[in-house]
Amino acid sequence: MATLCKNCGNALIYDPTIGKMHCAQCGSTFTAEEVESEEKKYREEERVLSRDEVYGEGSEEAVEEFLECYVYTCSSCGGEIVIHGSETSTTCVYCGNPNVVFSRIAKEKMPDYIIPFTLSKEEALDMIRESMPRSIFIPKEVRHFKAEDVRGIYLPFWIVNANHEETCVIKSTVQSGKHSTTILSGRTGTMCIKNFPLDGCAILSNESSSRLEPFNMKLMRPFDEDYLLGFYSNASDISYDEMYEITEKRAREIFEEEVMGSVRGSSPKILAQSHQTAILTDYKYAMFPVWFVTFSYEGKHNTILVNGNTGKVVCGLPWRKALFWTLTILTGIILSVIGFYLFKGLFYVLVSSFSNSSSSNSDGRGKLIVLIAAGIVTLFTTAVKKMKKVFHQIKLTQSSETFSFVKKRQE
Amino acid sequence: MFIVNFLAVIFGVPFGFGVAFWAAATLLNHSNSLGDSHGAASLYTSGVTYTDKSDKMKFGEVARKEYIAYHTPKRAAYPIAPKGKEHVERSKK
Repeated sequence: MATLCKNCGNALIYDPTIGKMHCAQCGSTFTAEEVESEEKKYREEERVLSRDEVYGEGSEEAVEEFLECYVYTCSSCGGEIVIHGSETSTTCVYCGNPNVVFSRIAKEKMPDYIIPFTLSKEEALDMIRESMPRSIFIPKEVRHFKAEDVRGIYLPFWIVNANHEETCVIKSTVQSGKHSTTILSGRTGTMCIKNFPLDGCAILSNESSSRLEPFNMKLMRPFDEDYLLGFYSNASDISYDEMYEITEKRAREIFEEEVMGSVRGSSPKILAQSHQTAILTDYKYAMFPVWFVTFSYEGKHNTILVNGNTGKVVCGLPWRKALFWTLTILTGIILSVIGFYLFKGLFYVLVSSFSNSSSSNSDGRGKLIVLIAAGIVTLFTTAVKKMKKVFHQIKLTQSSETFSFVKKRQE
Repeated sequence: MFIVNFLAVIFGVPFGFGVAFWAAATLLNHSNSLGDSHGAASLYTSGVTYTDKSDKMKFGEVARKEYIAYHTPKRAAYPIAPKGKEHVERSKK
């Protein structure tokens, strides 16, 4: 359904830079409230048709690649628009006019709120370029990447309020003088969660979408389908169990981080726990703006996400592996030589004074050596953790599901 | 002197490579991993309200299980969102 300009009849598109509907033909601008159409009520009854309904069940045209496709009729030119999965707005491939699939957002399915895009496509690309730090590990082709697709997509989000109750037993180590003691602490409590946004799109990784937080909830306004014009969007397709799973996971993270900070000692670890998360019935359905930018590097598709409201950029960038390992090894060799002489001096002093020492001094020297060894092990384990984080981010960025989510849309 | 040189190699080489690896990994994480954070917890909650804090618990599996069993959360007595495999729908006003 294209909302038409009252002055010239051309299709309107929502312009994030001015926050209004804009007519490219005559330059007129309208707020969402100013453009209402009787025809929208009529279009609510028009539904999408499945593959089987269009081609007939078992027909030769019903090929596997169209399994998740549905057919909708463009309100402007009558052309057949193919929509995938749970899409609710797209662009007609024939006339280029924006189309909103009303039957998917009408009545009971209509979102309660929407945060309109505040960043335009160009501003999103600028945010990405500004976010890339000057680093020797980012390949030149990535720093000056050529975007293949830049798509503004409204993602469905559920805004939930929940109560989380948990009880846990935590083990920690307390240092008292020369001795360390292990203690057990019990913590039981409740936590109220308010306005927690969780991604309602099943195909998109929740890890990727949660990194887009925070959204500026103050800019949230009552839903109006006119904000979707010129952008893509999807309806929610997650189950109640998935909603609980995401909320519970996040609630546990927050709760456990706080209680572990409340116990005495170091290296706290939860030994046993029991928890329950109850989502209240006043959850709200909203659409939040996200820019998806895809580019290719070394034959792999990469998808960068940009929060269309705050401009936060989320991605793991490909890295120059050969340079990384060469620099690490060369620096390692130089620091090893320095370390050799440092430790040689240290051990010379320790060994020389060994014969004249009392048992307490020997204990002290033994502890020093153990401490140094522990420090070296910590360096390696910390480095490995950081590398795992980078690999994980790159894996999310190069996810084929995310790429398909963006790519399988009408141009 | 041999023992000193031997210990210096045993500690010096891992130290050198450990520092180099840690520094390179930190630089890589800083430059190539963008937006790796969630919204702060304070945006969604005002914190935990404790109903029990026991700092000197007894050791042993039995004591642990007794604590958990005694404090296990009970089922919510107020209306909550349904569970199941159905798609989430707008809550009815």
